[in-house]
Amino acid sequence: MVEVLVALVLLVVMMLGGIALLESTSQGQLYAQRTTRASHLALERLEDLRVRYFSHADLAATVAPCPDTVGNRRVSNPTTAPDSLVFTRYFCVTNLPAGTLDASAKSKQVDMYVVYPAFAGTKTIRMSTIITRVEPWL
Amino acid sequence: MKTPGRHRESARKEGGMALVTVLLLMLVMLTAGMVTMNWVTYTALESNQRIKEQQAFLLAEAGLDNALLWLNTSYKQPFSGGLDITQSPVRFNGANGANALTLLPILSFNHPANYNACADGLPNGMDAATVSANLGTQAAPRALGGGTYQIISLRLLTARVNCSGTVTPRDRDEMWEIKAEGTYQGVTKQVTVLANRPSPSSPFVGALFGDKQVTLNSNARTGSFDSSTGTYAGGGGGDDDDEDGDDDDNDNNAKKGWSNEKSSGGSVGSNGIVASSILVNGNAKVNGNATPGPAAVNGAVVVNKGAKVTGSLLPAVAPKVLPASPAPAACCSALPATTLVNGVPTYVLTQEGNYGNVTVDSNDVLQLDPNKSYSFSNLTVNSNAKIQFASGTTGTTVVTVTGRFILDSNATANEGGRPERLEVNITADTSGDTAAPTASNSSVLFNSNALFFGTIYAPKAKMRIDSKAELHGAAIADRVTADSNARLYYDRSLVNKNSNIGGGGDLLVPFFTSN
Repeated sequence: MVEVLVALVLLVVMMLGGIALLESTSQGQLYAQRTTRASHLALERLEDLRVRYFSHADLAATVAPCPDTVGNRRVSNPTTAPDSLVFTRYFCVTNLPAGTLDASAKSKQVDMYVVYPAFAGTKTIRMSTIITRVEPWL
Repeated sequence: MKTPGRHRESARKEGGMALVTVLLLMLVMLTAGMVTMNWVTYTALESNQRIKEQQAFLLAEAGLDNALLWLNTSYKQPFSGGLDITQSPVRFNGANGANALTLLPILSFNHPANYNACADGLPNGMDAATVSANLGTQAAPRALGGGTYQIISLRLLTARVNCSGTVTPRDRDEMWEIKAEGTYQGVTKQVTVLANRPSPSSPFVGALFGDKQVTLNSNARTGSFDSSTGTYAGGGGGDDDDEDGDDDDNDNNAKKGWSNEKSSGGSVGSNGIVASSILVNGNAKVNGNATPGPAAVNGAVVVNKGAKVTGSLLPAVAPKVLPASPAPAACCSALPATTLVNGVPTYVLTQEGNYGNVTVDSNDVLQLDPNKSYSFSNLTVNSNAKIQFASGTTGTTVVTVTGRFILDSNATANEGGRPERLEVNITADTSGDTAAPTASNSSVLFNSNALFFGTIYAPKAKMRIDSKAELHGAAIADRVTADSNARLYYDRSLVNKNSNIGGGGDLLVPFFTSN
């Protein structure tokens, strides 16, 4: 009788642990999926900017100051994932430091941010690169 | 029927089995749980690692962009000597065989110590240290977005290889291998690109280019010729304007003695995208394309009644890069008194330098040496006066003017000479003034019947070519107006000219990337 009781208790403990493990697994997988999705969204927009930024006035015209910067550009671009979670993209286009070769109208630093839901609150990833206007003659 | 004794015996035999079974079950599930946890942890780590790798890759791409920008806008080949294809990697020969340059695979961007910036044509201050600091090296990587990037190899590979596999030692064909590296939170990625520049040096690929605007007034004409295959006889008959309207390209041979003039190839262009960026007024004719800036609005090219553009009106794919005009020499050298040369009062300038304000009086001559650079604050060539070169030599003479360059009525510059021999660069900046070029506000002014054989590079200044003045070569300005009966003949051989202007020409096109 005692051993049956012990076995039952162990079973209950095991089931509770299993549920916690499943929960943790599920959360971990969701986190990884969201992070991967966020990075894809960031890369997608960066490549879009690399191709289009210097030739499309609409991108340049849609501006608002980026945090802690002056005269830079920011475009909010929220997207909704299939599970109804909202991923918010925005980017800052800034001039490169004065006195450097690439500190010109032809070369810009782009910082791409994606804000996405985490376990509690939100998480933000940032990716940065330089885009350059390279053009042919007539 | 079982007896109580037998039942107790059976219970004793099964004693502990439940506990053992549960323990075994727990062991299995714990093992499965640990595997699952390990997998989840790995997935999360992998996800984070992937972001780091992507960021490192983007940083490496930033380095590539930097290097391409530098090569396209700032880097210039050494002037003379071309490429020495007996070397591997191919080596630039410096001027007169000195200052040879080899860009080897590098760890810290080792421009050779003997790379003389001035002699070999890099802009002032563009020494090895500056290049290193701006492109980023392993010794001094550049920071960006929480990571760093650097160029780890910048290497000139070959001259052009033609279809038969022969390496052609042309001094304007380059292939570069650029290897950049990005590092983000301990993760490093490298990107390699091969970039080809078929003919890098000349920014002159059309008759006229106005950064903001080009205007041709009535009866102005453009055309083209190739000065490498013909000679100028002066004043010959014929008419290359193709005014018979057949556009057959064959009616021009006699014009001024150029043996191969054509009524095509005289393209005009602009970076302007607003209405009337290129304006062709009544009876003017562009024998070639009229190309406005990318995404130009409808009406960016206006061809008024009676005017004609024989080629395309489509906008450019991208705006044209106009590097700053090369800086003048420090002022000032003393202008020598005129001497009589063939009975004509002549300023004979045998020394390079900045001569400040110079006016060549009517019927006088300003004689310059080939292969030398002269600077002026303002240079005015009065009517019937001439700019000519000392005879018996060849090479490009570079004239830099910070203010105004005026060829008055009937004045000539390099008359009959190949346009590549005279390169006039204007540093004046009137780009903030939106007024059309006039006789009073233009930094470059060719008055009626003036003859100019050369190139004009005035990316920030206004230019006006008055009636019946002729430009043989090419011109680039901020705003340019060609008045009635002006003649603008693009010299197609300029596409191969080794220009003193940084960058320009065909861009380096990355065509292969790996990492």
